[in-house]
Amino acid sequence: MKQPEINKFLAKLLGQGLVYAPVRKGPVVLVEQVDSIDRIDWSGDIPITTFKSVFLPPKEVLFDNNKAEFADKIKKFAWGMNVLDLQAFSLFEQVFEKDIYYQKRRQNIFIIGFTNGIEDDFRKYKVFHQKYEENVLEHLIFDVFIERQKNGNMIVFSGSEKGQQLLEQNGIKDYENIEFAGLVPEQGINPIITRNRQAVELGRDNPIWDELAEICLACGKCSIHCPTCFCFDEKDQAEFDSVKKVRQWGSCFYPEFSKTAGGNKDLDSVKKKLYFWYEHKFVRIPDEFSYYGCVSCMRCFKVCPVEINIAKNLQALNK
Amino acid sequence: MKNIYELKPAHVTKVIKENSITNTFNFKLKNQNEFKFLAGQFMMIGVPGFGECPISISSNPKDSTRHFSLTIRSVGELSGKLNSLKVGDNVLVRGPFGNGFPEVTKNLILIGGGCGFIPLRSVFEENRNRKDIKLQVLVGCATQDSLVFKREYLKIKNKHDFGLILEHETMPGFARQKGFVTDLIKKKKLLKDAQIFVCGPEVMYKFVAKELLAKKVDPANMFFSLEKRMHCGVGVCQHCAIGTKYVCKDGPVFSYDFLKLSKYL
Repeated sequence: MKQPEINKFLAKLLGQGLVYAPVRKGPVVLVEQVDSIDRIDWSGDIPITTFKSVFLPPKEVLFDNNKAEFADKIKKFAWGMNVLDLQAFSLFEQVFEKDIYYQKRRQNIFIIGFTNGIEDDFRKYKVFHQKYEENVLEHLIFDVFIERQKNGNMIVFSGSEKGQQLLEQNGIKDYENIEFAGLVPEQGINPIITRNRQAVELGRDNPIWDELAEICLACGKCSIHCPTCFCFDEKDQAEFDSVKKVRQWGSCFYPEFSKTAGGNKDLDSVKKKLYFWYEHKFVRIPDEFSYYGCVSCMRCFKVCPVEINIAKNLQALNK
Repeated sequence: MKNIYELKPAHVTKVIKENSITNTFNFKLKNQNEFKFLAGQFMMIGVPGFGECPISISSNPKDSTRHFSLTIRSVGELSGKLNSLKVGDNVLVRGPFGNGFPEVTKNLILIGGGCGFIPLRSVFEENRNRKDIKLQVLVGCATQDSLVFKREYLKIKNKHDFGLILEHETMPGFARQKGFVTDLIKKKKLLKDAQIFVCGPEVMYKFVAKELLAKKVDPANMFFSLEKRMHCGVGVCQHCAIGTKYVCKDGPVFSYDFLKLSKYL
């Protein structure tokens, strides 16, 4: 299959719902809602922003005394998610497995992955937590995946029944089914996850946290841009004719995060906040889901005003 | 699919004044006869427009099909609002959440600081008439005015080993000297071969643990109930995470060993 056929498919999707895709803006790539094919970036570069707002909006209403239901029924396409973002998405699928708001929205979202050639991507991403595996797609959750080979050929995969139907209904017959083999490969949890878990848990007293706390501004940009950060706050919002319970993205770097009734705060220093963030990604998530809490996309480093580098910190903790 | 965030209406059936800023409320759900909880578990309670917060259940688990009680101290906007509730008023609740205290299999020592006796009352009520174990209750508080369940202390004192100490004053018949609950632990002869459940402001835990260890208490018998900021109540939102666990889902009761390991004590 060649690019024009993929473009045709994409054009059809644009007429069926909202399409979110990577878009180049100057030196960076961002994820945005697009209304034409021309705006879409095919470079395979990791966008600075993430797709997470598609499945977990920055703010959503959970309860409204005036309305009975809140299903987000708009059909959405997350187009061009790279392998690392699909890993982050796969984590969300586990975290929000029992969350009715997430699940109802998810029914109308199609996940469409894209790569310029998996092996190349993995080198470019300077992955510190994993090696390229040929069967990477078998262990990811997605509906459709498109691989562009070096000769320009496009190979299409379906990862779910929903994906198959989408392809068939939109005239793509030449695709390969990928049988989902579970998020954790047969040989068990990736030993690098286990190694990093130990490094962070045992590294609680490492001087690195003091060094980082010296420069970290606790601005929370890392957590907002992180594709695996899913912390949220629930708040009541009273308006003149209704009371709503809303859920919105939270960040463990923000002052309110751990404050209790008496005014006490567990995370009362930047050092504690930093450790809490790493502990969530490298200890709690692997413990709960046997899965990556960090997909090494390096967005946190790219957006950090003081250039805190998660890969270097992990290396230092692993020494 | 069940909605884990579903709020259920509960109405107030009784209000008992504890002190100037604290009341105990009995609540009844629509399906109260199907309701069950463990001592040490908590409810998320909310008033639309004021938010939601976790509150420990203070009543006897054996009465769960009739009602559940929440003892609430006014410390903020929501708890202030809750304390204005009257019989017949409605609130929205979720729960019960958490793991509760372990099963009581031997003698039991309850140590409460401030209003920390609230979840311990649930344990006490459940076990107060048992013939196979002895109970010891130690309470520390700032003043007589800030005590909760004051009316019940005489009853407890008459049947069980009871100690009360106040930080700022003495109380005839109960507290002869001023001090903290740790002073009480130092002074008292603790029950042998006992489980010890502690609840109070978290700053006190380090000192309580130290005194108990000094009295050669086996750390495996020590359990602490924690208070944390919570939003979801089901171990997702991360607000109440400590170390590898969540206070809402895996707690609020934790063993001494876990808290020591997480550098919490």
